[in-house]
Amino acid sequence: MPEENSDSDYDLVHRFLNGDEQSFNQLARKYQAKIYWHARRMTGNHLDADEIVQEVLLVIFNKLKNFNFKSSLFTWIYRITITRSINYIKKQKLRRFISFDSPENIGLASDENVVKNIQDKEKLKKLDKVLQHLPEKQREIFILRHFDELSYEEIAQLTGKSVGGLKANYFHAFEKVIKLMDNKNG
Amino acid sequence: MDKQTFERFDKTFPLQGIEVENRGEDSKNSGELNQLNKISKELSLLNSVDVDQNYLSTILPKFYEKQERRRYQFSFGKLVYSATLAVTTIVIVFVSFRNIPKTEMVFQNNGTQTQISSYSEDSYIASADQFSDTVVDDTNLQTEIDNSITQSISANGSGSSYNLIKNDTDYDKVLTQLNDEELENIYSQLQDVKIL
Repeated sequence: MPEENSDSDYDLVHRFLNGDEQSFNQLARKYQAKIYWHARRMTGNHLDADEIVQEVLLVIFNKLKNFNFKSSLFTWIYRITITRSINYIKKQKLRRFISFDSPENIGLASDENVVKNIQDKEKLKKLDKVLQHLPEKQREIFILRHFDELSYEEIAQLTGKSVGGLKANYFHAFEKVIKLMDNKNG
Repeated sequence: MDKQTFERFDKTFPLQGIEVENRGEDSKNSGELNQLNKISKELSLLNSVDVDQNYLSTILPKFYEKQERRRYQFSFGKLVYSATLAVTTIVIVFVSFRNIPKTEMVFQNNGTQTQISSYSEDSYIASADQFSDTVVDDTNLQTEIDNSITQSISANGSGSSYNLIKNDTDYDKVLTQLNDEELENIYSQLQDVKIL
């Protein structure tokens, strides 16, 4: 799990609970990029990721008073991010399943303006294509293990799944990724 | 891909490539390990993207703006609710004091019910002698259709708590209001029948 200054988190949370809104801003700034990238890799586009970031911040803002430091703040925030991302994707699927709009108006939530560099844009597009081919649960584990470099124990703690199940899922995800990357390169 | 080879790769992750070269692997295994390392490096390269700092600086202002809007909507909603409650109370008091004969009210209710229950899809098709050049007032048609659907749902025993969804905005509202458990329930049911 990435290093964090738990004392500082502890102070920030307490200061926020005592009415100091600036402390919440500090917490948000500290974790917003991590929240964004998890959501971005899960959804494959910026606008959806941005929505999730806003949702996660709202949950943190409203529920921070119930946070009891039984886990680290980072783990708690990450768990919220994972749940919100998965739920957002499910809602999007339901939205597509029953829609009153014409199909062309759905799924246009793609905005690459947050990445300025052209090479980076290309990289991101390639990565999104690969990840979006994985089923959500495999995608989630793949992201947590491969990009966030979390251990299986940490992922199990975050997702509530067994280490054995996670390993199997990661293996299958990696198999698919290899095929997809081979197709792209070949 | 061989599972054992993958497990070995996974154990050394994220330090891929370090142990592989020193182990004198047989050619198949080392070939697979090399492939895994190569893919892993490619992925890491694709992942090395920086997000625009300007975007990150907009997150918090947007959050507070949304918070403010929600707070306003919430208090406005509460205001509307209390206003509605007050108006309803006044109407009830007013109606009670007007002392309307009960028979008349019952008659009105029955009339509405009969009228609604007699609607069917064909009810809106005019019979031959009803065709004319006069413009039919259809301002209440949508309300009547809605009432008719509402009655049908009640008659089917589907309870009285439901919303009619007529467009994406209504649908979005419903989706937004779903809690995690309800969402999971609906989603897994649709997955079970292979719809999603």
